[in-house]
Amino acid sequence: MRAVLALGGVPQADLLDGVQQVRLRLLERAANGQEAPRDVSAWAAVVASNLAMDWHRAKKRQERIGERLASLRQLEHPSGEDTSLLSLAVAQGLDELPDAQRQVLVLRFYADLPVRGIAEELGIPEGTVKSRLHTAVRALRARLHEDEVV
Amino acid sequence: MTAENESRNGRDGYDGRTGADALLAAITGEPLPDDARADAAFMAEHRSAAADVALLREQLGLIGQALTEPPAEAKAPEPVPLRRPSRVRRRAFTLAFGTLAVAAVASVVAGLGWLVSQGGDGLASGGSADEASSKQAGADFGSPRYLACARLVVEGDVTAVVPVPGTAQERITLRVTRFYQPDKSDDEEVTFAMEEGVVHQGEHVLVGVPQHAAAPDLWAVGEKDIAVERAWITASLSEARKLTCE
Repeated sequence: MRAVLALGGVPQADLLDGVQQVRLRLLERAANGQEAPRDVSAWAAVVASNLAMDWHRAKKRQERIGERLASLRQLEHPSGEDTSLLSLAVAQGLDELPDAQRQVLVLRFYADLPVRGIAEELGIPEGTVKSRLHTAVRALRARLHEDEVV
Repeated sequence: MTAENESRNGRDGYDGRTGADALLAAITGEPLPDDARADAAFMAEHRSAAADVALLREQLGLIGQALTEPPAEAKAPEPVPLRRPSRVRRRAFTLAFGTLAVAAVASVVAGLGWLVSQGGDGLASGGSADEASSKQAGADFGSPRYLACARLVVEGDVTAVVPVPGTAQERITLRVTRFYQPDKSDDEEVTFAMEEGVVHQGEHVLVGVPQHAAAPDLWAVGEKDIAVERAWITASLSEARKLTCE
C-alpha cells in the first residue's frame, strides 16, 4: 500500500499518513453499513492510488520519484552503476506520465489487478483502462529505447 | 529491452496493428486467439511485449521498494531454518536494502546468492550452496503466507524455452493446467525467466513466482516432485485465501 502511494508520487514523509487515510476509509465504509470489499487488497490499492493523485493535485509540485531515486542511488553507490540506470529511466518515465495513465500502470503492474478489476473499482469502462495502459506502456517503451538503457 | 528488438530494423513506433494488438494482449494477459498464435510475426511481437511487461513489473517492484525502505540499511542475511529434505529444487535470494542493483533479470541471476536445496538433484549449473534469507520476510515456503504473497503459483506444461542472449537465463512459457494462486485466470499461458537448463520443453512443472519478481523462487519438475509441493499448497490454500499481503 505504501509503495502504491510512493509510486504515485507521495513523498516518503507523507506515506504513513496516506496509509492511515486508506485504513480510515475502510473503517468508514464498515461504519456506513457497506459490505467489506470483495478483495480488500485490490480495493486498498485503488484507494491508495486515488489518494496519491489527489495529493499531488492539491500540492503545487509532485514529488518526482526519478529525482528521489537518483539521490538514493548517490548515497549507496557514489561510483555509479549501470544497472541502476534502467530503474532511474523507468522512474523518470513514470514522472512524465499523466496521472491517469500512471495510476492504471501502477494498479496493473505493481498491484497486479486485472483490467476488469481496475475498471470496476475506478468506475470507468474497461476500454478506457486498456487505452490508458496501452498508451502508458508505449510511452515508457519508447522512452527507454531513446535512453538506450534497454 | 530484448534481443528481438534488433530484428525490428530500428522501428520503434509499434504503430502497426500487429504490434499494437500484441502489446495490448501482453498488457491485459488475455488468452490469444488461435489465429494469432499461428501468426509468427504476431507471436514475436507478443513475446517481446510480454518480456517488456515483465521487466516493467519488476522495475515497479524495485522502485516501490526503494522509495519505501529507509535508505542505507543493509541487513545481514538471516539464516533460514533448514527445510525438510525434499527433492524439490528451490532457491531463495536476498536483496540488500537500498540497493538498486537489479536492472534486468540477467542481473538478478548474476548478482544474487542462489540456494539449491539439499535434495541432491545434482543440478550442475553452479548454484551456490549458501543459504540466503528469503526475500519476503516471513513468507516461508510451505506456509499460507507464501501463497498469499505470491503473484503466481501454477502447474503447467512447458511449451517454449527461449534463451536470453548474453545471459545464463531462459524465457519459459507454460500452458497452465492448474491454478493455485490466483485460483483462476483468463490467461492460460504464463511467461517468466529462469536460469538455463532447469526446465525443458514438454516437461510438466509447478512454479511459484513472488510478487514483483519476474522469476520463480519455487519450482518442481516431474510428477513425483510436484506431488510433494501440491500437498502443502492444497493444504494451505484455504488459509491463504483469508490473508492479504501487505
